[in-house]
Amino acid sequence: MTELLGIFSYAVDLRFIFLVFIGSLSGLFVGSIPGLSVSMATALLVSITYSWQTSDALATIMGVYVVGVFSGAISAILINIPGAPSSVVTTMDGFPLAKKGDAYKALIYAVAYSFVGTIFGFAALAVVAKPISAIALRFTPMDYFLLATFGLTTVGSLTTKHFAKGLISACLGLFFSMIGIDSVMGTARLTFGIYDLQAGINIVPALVGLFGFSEVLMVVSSSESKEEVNSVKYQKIPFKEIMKHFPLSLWYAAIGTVIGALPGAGGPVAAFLAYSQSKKIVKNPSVPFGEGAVEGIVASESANNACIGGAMIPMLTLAIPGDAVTAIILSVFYVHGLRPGPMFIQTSGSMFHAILAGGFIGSIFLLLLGLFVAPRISKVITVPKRILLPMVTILCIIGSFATNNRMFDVYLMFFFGVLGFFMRKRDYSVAPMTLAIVLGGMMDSNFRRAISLASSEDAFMKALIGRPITILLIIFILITLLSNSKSLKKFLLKRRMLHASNG
Amino acid sequence: METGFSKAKIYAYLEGIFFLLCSLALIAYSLSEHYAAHVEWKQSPYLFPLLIAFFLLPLSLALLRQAHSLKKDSPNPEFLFRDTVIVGGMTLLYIVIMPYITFIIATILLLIGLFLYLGERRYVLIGVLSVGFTLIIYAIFDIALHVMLP
Repeated sequence: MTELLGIFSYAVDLRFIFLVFIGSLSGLFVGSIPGLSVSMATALLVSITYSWQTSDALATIMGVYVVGVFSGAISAILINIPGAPSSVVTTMDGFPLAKKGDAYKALIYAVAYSFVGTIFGFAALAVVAKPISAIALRFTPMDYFLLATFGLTTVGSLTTKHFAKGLISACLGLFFSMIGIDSVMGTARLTFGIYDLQAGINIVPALVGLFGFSEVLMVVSSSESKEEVNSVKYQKIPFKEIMKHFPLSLWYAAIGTVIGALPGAGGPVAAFLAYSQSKKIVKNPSVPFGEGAVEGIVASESANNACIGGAMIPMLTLAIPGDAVTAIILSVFYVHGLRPGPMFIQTSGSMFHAILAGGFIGSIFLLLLGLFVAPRISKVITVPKRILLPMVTILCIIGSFATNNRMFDVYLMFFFGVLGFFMRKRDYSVAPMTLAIVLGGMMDSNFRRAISLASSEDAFMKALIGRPITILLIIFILITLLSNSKSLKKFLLKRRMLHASNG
Repeated sequence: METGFSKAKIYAYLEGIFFLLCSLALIAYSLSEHYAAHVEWKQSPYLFPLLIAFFLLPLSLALLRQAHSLKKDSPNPEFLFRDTVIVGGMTLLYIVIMPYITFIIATILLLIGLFLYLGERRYVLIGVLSVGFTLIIYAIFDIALHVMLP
């Protein structure tokens, strides 16, 4: 009951609603324009909302996040280029359907089931966050360290083709997070005599560089191609026909929520999984999958939007972000002096309500903007890159300057932008690095605390890794590492072939 | 396995060597700084960097192994080198000179330069966007958000 009252208090706050609307409107454009990403917009927003009240910042960011993830589907349907990675699967049926002259129908299905997915994800967050927090209260410092390590290894395995490169990206992030004055001993660490580094690497310029400026360089470095835009003509689609897929969409949304809660997996994985599920479940789609089946759009959009609420679960209860955007949102909490974790709902209940209210209100704006504005923005999504990129560059620079009013942060942003560019060109995902920069300080302090606590016990190893939760986490990490090991896979394949030839 | 060195293979080797050197340097740094600090390992600020370095070591070796097994004709990711360097260079120049010539002038100049370089030829639009966008950003950050822009 208190949860509902808390959410309701934000839902009737006109200022809060207005800020969610502003975020939603920005999310609609940012998500639908290929080359601009939700992570980039959120990173920029962190710098703009730096001095705002936390609830105001969260309102805007939740609007961008919820509507931004959906609006990737607009360009996926209209120009066959997903505006966000999680909309890749939507192109498979959305674009063929639009080519048949049914762009409006494809958009309406995407809007309706993005809404269903988002609501499902946030409802799941509201229901399971408290029980998970209760379990997390039993976690020791070693468990936190291992949980963050597990998060980094899964992100490393899911965001790049080469596992080693994913882990190297995470190591680099951890390295950057170590720079500055050590929180335990007060010693300057890895600053190499540079005074400005003593305060550490500020997360905002690092994020703006990795997601904003590196994206600008990525787009500049690739030749621009002319996009074919499908026209959107109004069609009357019976409500009953749209809602026909509702029961199945709940299953896809459940998949999305669970996948979203796994650190690093995120929207693209959820959408692919849900899509493959729908191919198995739906025996008689409207047209074959891949040729414009609305069932494909339903699966992809329900799952990728449900990921939003799912990704929030580990971020709020364990301080382990589920994806790059939640890593950035986690930094918003840190910037505003809040500490997500098992005690978060108890100590900062109103912020938890603000997130839920932001998500629910954002999903209503998703519905309204999706139904009334999305069909009319086909011109906007093809804004030439030559117009867009210079402005984004300026926003990256000013956004990173605004955090501390110092030019050093702008140089940091430039450094991370160039680094992010080369990493992406060489197939190193920047997501593990982002997560590592955010989590590094927590991992360091918890690891040292765990070692200190265990060293005062008689049985050092038992105290360090002897608890059931700790053992379980170690097993999870080992499974992630071994299941991604190419040598092990080769060895198992050889053994199987040997068995086959002997048998 | 095919032998010979393609561009992709050379870059892959360089990557592996770079991270191997980073790992070794971080081990050396952590050890030397730790012993100079005269603290126990359990409290040492260099314990975690050492852990990262030890983790990076096998990963860099895995990269080298991957580079070794790359085929001679493996494709190398191509990109428009000149465009990237020029846009990056213009941005860096902007960052360097902004404190001297003020935000408004520097931003208008950068926007005009980037619009022109990236191929926009509608001069009126360039003028309107450069001045308009700069003033809007100035109004939002300097006036509304009280960010002291240079």
